[in-house]
Amino acid sequence: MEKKYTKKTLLTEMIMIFIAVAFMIPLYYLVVSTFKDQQQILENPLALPSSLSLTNYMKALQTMDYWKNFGNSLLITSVSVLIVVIFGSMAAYSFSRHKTKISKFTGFLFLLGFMVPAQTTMLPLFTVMKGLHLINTYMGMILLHSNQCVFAFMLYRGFIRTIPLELEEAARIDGCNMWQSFWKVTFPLLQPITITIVVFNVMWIWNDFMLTYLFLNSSSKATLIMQVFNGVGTFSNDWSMMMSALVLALLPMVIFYLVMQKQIVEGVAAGAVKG
Amino acid sequence: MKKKFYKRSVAVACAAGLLAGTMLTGCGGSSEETSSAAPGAGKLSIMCWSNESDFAPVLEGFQEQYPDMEIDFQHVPSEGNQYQQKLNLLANSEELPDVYWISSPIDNFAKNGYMKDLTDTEFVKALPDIYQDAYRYEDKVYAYAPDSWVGGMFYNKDLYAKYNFEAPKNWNEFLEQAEVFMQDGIKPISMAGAQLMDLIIWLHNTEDVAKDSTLDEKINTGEKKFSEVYAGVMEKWYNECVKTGIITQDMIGISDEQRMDEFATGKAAATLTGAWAISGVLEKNPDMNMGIIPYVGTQGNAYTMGAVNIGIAISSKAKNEANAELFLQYMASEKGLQEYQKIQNSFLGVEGVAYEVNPIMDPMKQYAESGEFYFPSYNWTYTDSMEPALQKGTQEIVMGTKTVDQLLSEMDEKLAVLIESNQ
Amino acid sequence: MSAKRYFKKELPWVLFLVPALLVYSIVVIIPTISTLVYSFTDYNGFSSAFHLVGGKNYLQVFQNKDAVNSITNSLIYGITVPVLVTALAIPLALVLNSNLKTRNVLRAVFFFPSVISTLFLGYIWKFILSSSSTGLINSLRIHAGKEILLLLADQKMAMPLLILITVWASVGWHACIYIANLQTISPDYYEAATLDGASKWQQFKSITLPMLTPAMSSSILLLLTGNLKAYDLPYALTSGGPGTATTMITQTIIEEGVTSNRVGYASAMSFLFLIVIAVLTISVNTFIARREKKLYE
Repeated sequence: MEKKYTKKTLLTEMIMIFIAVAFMIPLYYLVVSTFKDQQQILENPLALPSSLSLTNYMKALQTMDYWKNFGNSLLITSVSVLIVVIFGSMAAYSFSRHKTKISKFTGFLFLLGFMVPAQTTMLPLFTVMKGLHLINTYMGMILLHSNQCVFAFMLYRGFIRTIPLELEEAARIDGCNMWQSFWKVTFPLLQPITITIVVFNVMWIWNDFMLTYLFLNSSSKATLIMQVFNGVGTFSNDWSMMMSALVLALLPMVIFYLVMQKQIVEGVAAGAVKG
Repeated sequence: MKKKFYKRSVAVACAAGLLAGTMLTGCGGSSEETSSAAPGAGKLSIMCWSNESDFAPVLEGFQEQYPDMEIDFQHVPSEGNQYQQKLNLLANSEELPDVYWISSPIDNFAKNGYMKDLTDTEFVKALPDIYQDAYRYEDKVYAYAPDSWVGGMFYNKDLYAKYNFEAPKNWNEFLEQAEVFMQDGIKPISMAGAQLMDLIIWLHNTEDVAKDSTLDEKINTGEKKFSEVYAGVMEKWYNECVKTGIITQDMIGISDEQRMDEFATGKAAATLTGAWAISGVLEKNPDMNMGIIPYVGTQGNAYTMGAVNIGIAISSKAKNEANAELFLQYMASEKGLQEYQKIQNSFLGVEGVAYEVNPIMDPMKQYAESGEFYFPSYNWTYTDSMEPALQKGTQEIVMGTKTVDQLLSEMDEKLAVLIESNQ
Repeated sequence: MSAKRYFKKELPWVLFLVPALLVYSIVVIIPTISTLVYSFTDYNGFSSAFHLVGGKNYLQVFQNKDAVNSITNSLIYGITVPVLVTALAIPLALVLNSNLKTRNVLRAVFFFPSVISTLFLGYIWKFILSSSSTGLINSLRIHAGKEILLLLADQKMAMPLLILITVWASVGWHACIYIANLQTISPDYYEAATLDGASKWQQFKSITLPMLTPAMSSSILLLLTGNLKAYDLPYALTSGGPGTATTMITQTIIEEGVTSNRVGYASAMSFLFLIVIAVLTISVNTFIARREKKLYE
C-alpha cells in the first residue's frame, strides 16, 4: 500500500536530496582534488576540475605496486571470508540445534569475545602468533581475520532459529548424516544471512588496518590499505597524489559496493535484524 | 555413511587446526629457518623506515652484487613512533628481521641482547668516534651509522631581502625580526603540531648544551631532573615565543607537509628542518630562494640541531647472519654510502668518500665537521616515551591548559616510573 | 545410555563447534588470559624474568592522569556516538522507507561512507578540517575574507568534530538496519491506530519505536563495541591531539605497553577497560532484551 505522493512528500524529497548532496561533499572534494594540481586545490578547492587529467593517478600508480597489493588484499579477504562463513555457520548450527552445556558455554564465550579489542591483547597475541610461526605470513593474517566467525556465529544463530526443522529431519530419514544434511539442506536456506555476513566481512577485512599493521611487515605482502598508510610519508609532499592513492585504494570497495548495492542496502540489514 | 561423516568432520576440524596454527610445521620446521645456503644466496630480511622507492637505489646496487639473494624488504613509517613500536613488538616476540634500522639510544635493545656486537668489524672501525659513540652501549658498538644530519633555520631569502633583513645572528635579532613579520601577518616560523618544542631545543642547544654537553645524560642517570635542566629555557621559550605569538594554537593542527607549504608559499618566513626537506620545498615552489643558518644563541654563539643518523643493526638472532654482514659491508662500500647519502642529503662521517650535498647546505658543513650539533631527545634513554610527552605537553601549554612547571614535573614523574619499571 | 553411545551421539555436534572455537581460542581466549596474568606482574616485554606485583598496576591506572583522561575520552566517544547515531538513524530510516521517488539513490548515498576504510576517512577529514590555511574549510574562509578557525587544533572542538565525523560515517549503515526492520512491521497496526485517531507522533511512539527493538538491539551492540574500541579514525584524524584531548584508551594502551614497554601496567589498563566494555554492553543488551520480551507478550 503506497501512500499518495503529495506536496509534502515532494518537499521532503527536496530536503533529503539537499542533505544527501551535503553529505557527499567530503568525497566529492576528495575526487575532484585528484584531477587538480596543488595550486588549483588551494585556489578553488570545490570547483570542478578544468580537465580530467590522470597525471596524479599515473604518479600514484607508479609509486605504489597497485596490482601486487590488490592481489594481497584479495587473497587475504577472500580466504578469510570463506573460513568465517564455514566456521561460523557450523558453530551456529550446532549451537542452535543441539543445546548442551558445552554449546551454551561456547556461546557465552563468543559473546564475551565480541567485546575484546585487539589492541588490548596484542602483546600476548604477538607471542601466540610467534609460537605458531605465523607473524608476517598470509596464513597468520587469515587466521586473525577468521576470528570474525564469532560475529558470523551471532548472526547465523538468530537466523537458524527461524528455519523449520522438518526439512533436516526429512533429510536425516533419507539417510543423510549431519554433515550432508547441513550443507545440502540447511546451509542453502541460510543464504540471506550468508550474504549479510559476506558483505560485512569483505568490508571489514579489506579495510582492516590495525591487525595488518601489527602482523604483516613485508612490503611484498602489504595490502592496499597498508600500502597507502606506508606511503603517507612518501606522498605527503604532494597531496593531490596522496588523494589519488586514496581513491585508487578505495576503488575496489566502491566497485564491490556498486555491484552488490541491492544486496547490501536491503538484504544485508534484513539479516542483521533477524539475528 | 557414518564413517564417512566422521572422517569428513574430523578432516574439517583438523584442517581448521592446521589453518589456525600450522602448529605441526611450526614446531618441527625451525630447521628450515636457519639458512644453510652459501653467503650471497638464500634470503635476507631488512626493516627500514625509508620507504621502498627511496631506498630502491641502495637495494638495487646490492642486488647487482648478489643477484641470487632473495630480499624481504619491510618498511614502517617513522611518524609518531610507529617504527619503534613495531621494532619493540618484533623484539619482544624474537621476530626481528636480519637487518634493521634503529635510532639511538639503543640501551634497551643492547641490554637485552637483540643486537649483534659490531665493534670489531672493519666498517665500524672506519667511523669517527662520535659516530661510534652514538650507538655504543657499555664499550661495544651495536649499529653502523655512517652519516649525520645537521639542520637549522631555513629562511626565505627573497622575503628577508624585501624587509632588508639579514639572517639573524643572535636570538634577539631573531625575535625582533619575528615581530615585524607578525605585524604583516607572516609567520616568523612555520611549525607543525609535533614540533612546537623545536624552539625549546634551539634555546637548550645554544644556552645550555653549548656550555655543558652532558646535561641530558645527567637526566638519564637521575643526577638531574627535567625540571632543573629545562625550567630556564622553557620559561624563556614561553615568554618570548608563546606569549609573543610566534607559536600559535593553529600550529597544533598543522601537519608536517602543511608547514612546508606555508614556508614554500611565503606565508611563513622560515622553518626549522634538515636537508631532506629541500627537494619537497623546491617541488612546491621551484623559484624558492632559500638559505640556512644554524641555531644562534643570545650571545651570538651557534650550536645547531642535528644528530648522528639512524644506525643499521644486525639482529643477534639473525636467521641469515652471513647475508646480513654482506649487506652491511655493501652499505659501507663507496657505492653503498654514496647511494645511501642521497636519500636524505646527509653528511657522511666516513672519510675519503666523495659525495655532494645541496649547495644550500654549505653553511652547515662546518658544524657537521666540528660536531657542534645536538638534538636532546636522542640522548634520553626513554626518548620514545618522553619525547611524545614533551610534544603533547607543549601543545597543552600553547592551548593554555598546562603550565611549564606542571609539564616539567609530570615529565619527571613519568621518567621515574619508566626507570623503575625497566629495572 | 552407555558412555560410548553418548560420545558417538555428541561427537558430531562438538566437531561442528571445534573449528570456530579453535580459532577463537588462539586469537582471543589465550591472549586475554595472558593479559590478565600480565596485569599482576611487572613484565616489560623484554626480559623474561618478571615478578608478581599484586594489584599495584591497577592502582596506578587510577592514579595516572593520562590513563584516567583516555578512559574518559573513550567513554565519552563510545557512548555519545551510539546515542547520536541511533537518534539520527531512526528518522533517516523512516524517511528513506517512505514513498520518495529517489529513495534507492538516497539509501545508497547515505550508506556510502561505510564502504571506506576508517583510516582513509580520517585522512580525508584531516584535509578538510585542518587548522592550516590550506585545509578546505579554512581556505574557503580565506576566500570569503574571514579569519581562519582552529577546528581540530581547538581542544574544545576536536572531540565534537571527531564524534560528528563518526556519526556521518555510520548513520547510513545503521539506518539500513532500521529500514529492514521497518519493512517487517505490518501496516495493519497503523491502519488500526489511524482509525482510533492516533496522531503521527503517537503512532511513532507506541508502534514504530517498540517494533524497532530487534534492529535497535543489533545496531546498538555494534555501535557500542565498535566505538568503545575505536582506534583507527581518531588516530588518523588527530593522533590523539590537540594535547591529549582525543587520546583514546586504545592508543594509551599501545603507547604504554609497546612504546614504553610497561606490559604489566598496560595489561591492567586493558583488563579494566575490558570490564567496562563488558558491563556497558551487557547492561544495555539486557535492557533492550527486556523491552523485546515485552514486545512479544
